[in-house]
Amino acid sequence: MSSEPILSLAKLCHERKMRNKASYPNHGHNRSNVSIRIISVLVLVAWGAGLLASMSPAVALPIAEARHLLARTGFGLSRPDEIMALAEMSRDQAVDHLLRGLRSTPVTEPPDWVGDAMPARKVRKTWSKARKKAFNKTNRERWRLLQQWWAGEMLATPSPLTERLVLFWHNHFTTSFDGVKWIPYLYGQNDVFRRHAAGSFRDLLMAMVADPAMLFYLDGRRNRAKKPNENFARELLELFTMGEGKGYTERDIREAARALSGWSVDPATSKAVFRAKQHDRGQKEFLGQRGAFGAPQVVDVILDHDRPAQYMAETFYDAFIGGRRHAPTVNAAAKAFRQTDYSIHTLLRTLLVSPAFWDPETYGMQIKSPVDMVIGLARFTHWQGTTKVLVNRMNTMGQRLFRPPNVKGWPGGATWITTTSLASRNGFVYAMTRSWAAAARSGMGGINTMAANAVTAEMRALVTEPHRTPAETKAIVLAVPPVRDLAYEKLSPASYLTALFRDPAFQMK
Amino acid sequence: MQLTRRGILKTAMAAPLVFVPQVAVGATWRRHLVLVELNGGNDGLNTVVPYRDPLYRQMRSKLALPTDQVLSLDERLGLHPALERLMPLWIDRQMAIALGVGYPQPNLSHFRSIDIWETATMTETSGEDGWLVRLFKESRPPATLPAEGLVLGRNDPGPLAGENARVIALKKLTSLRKRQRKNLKPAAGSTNPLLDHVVVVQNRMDLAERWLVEKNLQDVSLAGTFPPHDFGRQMETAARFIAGGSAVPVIKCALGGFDTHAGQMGRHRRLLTQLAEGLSSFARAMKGVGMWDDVLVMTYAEFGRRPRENASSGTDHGTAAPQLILGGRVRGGFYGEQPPLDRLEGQNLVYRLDFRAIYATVARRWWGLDGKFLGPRTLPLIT
Repeated sequence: MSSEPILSLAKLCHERKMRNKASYPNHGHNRSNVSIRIISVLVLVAWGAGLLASMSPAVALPIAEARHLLARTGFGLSRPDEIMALAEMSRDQAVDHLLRGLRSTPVTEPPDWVGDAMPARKVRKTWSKARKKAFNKTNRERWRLLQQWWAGEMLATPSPLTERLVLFWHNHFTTSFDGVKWIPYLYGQNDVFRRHAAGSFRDLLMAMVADPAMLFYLDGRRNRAKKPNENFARELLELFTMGEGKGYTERDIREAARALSGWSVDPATSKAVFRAKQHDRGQKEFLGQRGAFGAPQVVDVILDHDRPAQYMAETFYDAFIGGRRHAPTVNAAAKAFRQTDYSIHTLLRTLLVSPAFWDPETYGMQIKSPVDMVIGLARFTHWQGTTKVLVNRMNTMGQRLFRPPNVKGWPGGATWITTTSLASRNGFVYAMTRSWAAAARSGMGGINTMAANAVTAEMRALVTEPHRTPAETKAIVLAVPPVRDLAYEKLSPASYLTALFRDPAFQMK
Repeated sequence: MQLTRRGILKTAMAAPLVFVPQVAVGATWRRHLVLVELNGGNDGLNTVVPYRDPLYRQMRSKLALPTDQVLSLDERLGLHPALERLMPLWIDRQMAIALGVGYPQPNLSHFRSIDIWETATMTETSGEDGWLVRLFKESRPPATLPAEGLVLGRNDPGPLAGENARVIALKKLTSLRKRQRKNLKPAAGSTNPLLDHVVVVQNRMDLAERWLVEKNLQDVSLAGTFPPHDFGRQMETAARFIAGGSAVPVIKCALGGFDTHAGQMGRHRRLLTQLAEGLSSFARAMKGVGMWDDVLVMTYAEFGRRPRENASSGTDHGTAAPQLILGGRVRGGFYGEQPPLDRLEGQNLVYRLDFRAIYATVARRWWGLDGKFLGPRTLPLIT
């Protein structure tokens, strides 16, 4: 969209005027004048059409598109002010705006114990039964506190995309309280995810090979030259980089385990440490390459392979676009990812600006995760209550942060919705919207809590702003039309809004 | 057919004590299959122990169970001592142990292998329906039943996963609530399968709740108490459903934590204790209401574990493992063969009994269905 067409348009108009003036006395007889006029109109129309076509992404972002982008890069639901903030941008501009907002550090203060070193095994062995019990209890308590801290960060962050990515990586390079009892390790990994959220996948992968939480969770710290433990090596290939059974063999797993041997966690510093004595220094044959590989070479050899780019492009596609994969889009993203030596930023951007992402057919094609359900609604209503309440709700809906069901993470999709989880999701939406209904009944603001007032203000903005139609309200709240038959005319504005939130369509993003 | 009649008779006798049947259900669907998934891959060699085999001790210097602690089943094999509560069922010949259960070209991935077990499909086609869903395609449990399957543990329908399977997952009986709501209609010509899924689950929930609330399952009285752990509660809920006459053909429970790569000894003992407590309480409750003959309990896991222990006093992913099958109509004893420790393949046991033979037995001898896809072989497991 250079300024040239506009200049030439002005020139064209000017010339036309001059000619018209010049030919005025005998117009209608001057053939050349008529043909020039026809040509100029044609040029104008052609140029205008071209301009429209090339400009269409540059015109204001419709509510539905802004909602879609924010829902998929955030927590499934966004406030009207967040949606309106993108209104003047093109699609690409909106995507870049979100990417520019990415953070590498949290905005909230983590608990003060996240830097504590784990008591050494030698020390723990001397403890009494009661002391050990107290230790376990503290760890359980800290796990809950860490969940609450993260939920608070998701609420407070100006960049939901950052936390969305951290959650993505938590679900990819899974670790869990079920294998990592020392909670500072879980925090440490979460911090690494934020620092590398959209950075280099190569760096992130290397960081995971030497991550204390990971070394505990998949037994890497027990992997020694004499008796290799292949737990981490297997998942490194199966879940983290290649995809199950794709391009590697059981033998590659064993060889990778040998190459990765020797990494452990130093209890004195709580950092990963390489113990050369425990490392198998022999020759390995891994993914078709030979050498006396160690951990860095394992990462390099894996990333020399074609699979990881493809696999990660597929994984990102599923997470951010969903539905049936559009192969050319996946392939283009994989190619861009590989060409930029595994820049996550490039991978994500390529997908977010792709026509597949913006296709209205993808609206509402994903089921919100429990984190989406809870954080989305809590952000929407300017939640003022404790984060403990929110975390408890996520847990009962089936997503316990820092405690995914297994190394594969939460399977998501249709599995989010069971009779148990849907009941607790519905319960949450009912609880969150109950105060609105009450507020509406008592004439707005009758409820004397900050949360209810904020909600009421938001609700008023949503349904009573003179320029906002019911259709716009619907476009802000829902990704797809409601399943229930909601006749706006028969409901009060407040009831209509509440009904939108309680519709099964609200489960979708 | 005589068996079926006996089934009807038993149910009819038991029924007036607890409830008045409201819907007539075909006799075969009065038979319940209770699946117990040992999630993570149970260590078969320390469950049914080849305690006389010197190789066993040689391969497991830290994890081998002392001979005098093993509960002897015969001169070669014995149970882990934590399974003591199951011994009365073994002695009464109401517990069968299928040995060396597995499948050809074993896959050592948790996820792929459990898919194989739960779909009974070897070929790599993701999204295959669960084997019970495939089986029920042949003859659908009647629509008058509240559901075809009930998932109590782990929230994963496993063998009941499939497009049209009517499955309900429950955490607690108290989560059932009395509500009246009209069924939702999915949008006409919808192209959003996940939204359709939400609508279907919502409808199923409303329907099942209406149905089950009328049953007052919490008030069903059961003989004895259940252990207070999660698995115990699952077995108690299963018992209430069956005793309360809810006639859900399949109930899936799960006990997790079997992926014992490190420090196996204590954890495995705890898990097997929980397993034995849950199963024995369930058997007692079923006998108490005269319905032990109407249930078949079967354990399964994605794989067993490697014979040789690792350096972390744990065991890595393995292959073939034993499976427990319990019930009033079970013909107790061993099936299959214990895979020898001196004939390993890639450090792992070689399976001796294809798990599909057990499934085929359930299909044909338990429900009278065909289940051709499960292969021709059946076992004389069920009287």
